[in-house]
Amino acid sequence: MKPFTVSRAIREVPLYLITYLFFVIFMFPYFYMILSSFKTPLQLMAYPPTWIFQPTLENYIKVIFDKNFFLYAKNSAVVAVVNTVLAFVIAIPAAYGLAKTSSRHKGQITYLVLFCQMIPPIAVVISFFIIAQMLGLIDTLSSLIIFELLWTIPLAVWLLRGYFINFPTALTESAQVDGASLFQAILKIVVPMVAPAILATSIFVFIRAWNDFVLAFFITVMKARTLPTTIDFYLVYTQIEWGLMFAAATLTTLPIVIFAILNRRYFVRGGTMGAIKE
Amino acid sequence: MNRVSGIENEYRKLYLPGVVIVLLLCLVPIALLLVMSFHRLSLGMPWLSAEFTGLTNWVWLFTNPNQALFKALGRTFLFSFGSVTFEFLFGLIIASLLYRNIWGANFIVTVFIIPTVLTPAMVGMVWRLYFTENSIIDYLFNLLLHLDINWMSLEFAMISVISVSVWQYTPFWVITLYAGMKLLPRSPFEAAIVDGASEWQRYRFIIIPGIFPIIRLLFILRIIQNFIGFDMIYSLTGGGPGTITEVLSIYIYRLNFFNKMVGPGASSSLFLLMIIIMISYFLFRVLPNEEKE
Repeated sequence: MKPFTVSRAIREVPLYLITYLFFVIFMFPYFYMILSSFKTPLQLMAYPPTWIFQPTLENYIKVIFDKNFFLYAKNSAVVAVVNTVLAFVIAIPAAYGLAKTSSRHKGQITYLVLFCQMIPPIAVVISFFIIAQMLGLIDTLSSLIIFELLWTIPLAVWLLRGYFINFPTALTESAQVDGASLFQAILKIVVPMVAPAILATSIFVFIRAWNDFVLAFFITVMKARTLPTTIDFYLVYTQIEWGLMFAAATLTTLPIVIFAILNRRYFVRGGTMGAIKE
Repeated sequence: MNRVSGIENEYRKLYLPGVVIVLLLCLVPIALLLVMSFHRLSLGMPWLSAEFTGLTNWVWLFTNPNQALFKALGRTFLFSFGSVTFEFLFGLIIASLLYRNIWGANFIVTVFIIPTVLTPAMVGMVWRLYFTENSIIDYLFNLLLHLDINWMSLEFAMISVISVSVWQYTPFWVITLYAGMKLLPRSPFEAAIVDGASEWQRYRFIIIPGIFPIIRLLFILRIIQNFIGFDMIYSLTGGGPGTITEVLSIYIYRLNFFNKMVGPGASSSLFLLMIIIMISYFLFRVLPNEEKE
């Protein structure tokens, strides 16, 4: 790049500072949440806020033991994992078929699937509630898993299709010549080759399923609740148990934060997918 | 000829099951909504108590004296476009700053993933605590700007809701726009430098057009997401104070689960669905894709 000069440095320094300032402003609420989760009720109410204090694990202990955290964490994990796996089992062949078909209706079918992704959960949850009532599936994990597929399958199809469009058909065709069915060819050849794409897509699908609130809130009672729906456990009349709320929010978001950061490369790529032709 | 249609058949066998499952999951609830919107019914076992009432629900929805539906629609537009506008502005500014090889840019982009993936229901709840009187936001605004703002007042509640949305999704714009800028081919820059283009000119005529497809996609995506959004507003304000932050999704919730008016609730759900279809159709048309396939 350009050689270092004093005038350039003077011009650049404010830009650096502005950038770091933005960074601090945007990250502060998250870190303040974690900080607050280690405060006692008295410290939480202090004004001005205390920055240096003796941290307590009290909030976490209460959330985990009094509020049955592990049950809801297990529910969340089961719903998110099973839903993601099912979504991919269905979406991988569907995305491949839609990417490669030369059917006249290809565009319409693809847009139809895309459209389902835009359905507001709050608009259809009442229907799902009635369907679950009819099938006796109220307050079960299976109803959450099945209904959430309405959003996760289209999401996976949409993201995967972008990869499959550029995938050479010659590879599957040669496998078919050797006697494999197209489905087997996809399983044995396409899936391993687009594994990074599947990982990238799975981050978005998993986060979507993990963060679902509307379904889990309105078609469960107690047994099948997931972590995001535990927010009302910390409302006592009009009061909120602040420390517990911060601890619960920290715990609920921790798995997806770690998951996304570990796969940051794929996360970034997933965001630009479909917009850029590489 | 035969071989081609054979392959075509195989592709159909691949996508048909998935398409059928998605359509079932989508059309059955919508059909139910349609039926419910013409009935008077209650929440528990509604098929036992349903009573056909024709267009009553629809008429009530559009003509009730409060005009709650249209007010909610207006707020939805305000929330959605207000949020996306600021997300875009901040996102573009920060991504452009990072693009200037700022030390630590990769670290910043990585950490910026965090707000974006947080559970919206939890985000709303945590910010509700932050916006409480004498809580951290009050303290910081007092300390740094000497401003005393009641964030949950009638005047500021919508601004608070939009701010939280901007806070959560600006980082997503940054990550995506920054990645898009990084992927731009180098050669136009070299040519521009040879031609003596200023930094601003390179920015204006190479970078912005280069990332335009991403900007377009993010705009459409985020506007629709905001129209759908429920969780964060529900846990942050619940539509209040009064109905000042009651967007369409909250209005639907209030009709269905609070007022137990499942019939009008179904009509308003279908109304939101139609609005979303129109908005997305409009956006895909109005924001043209320059590099059409």
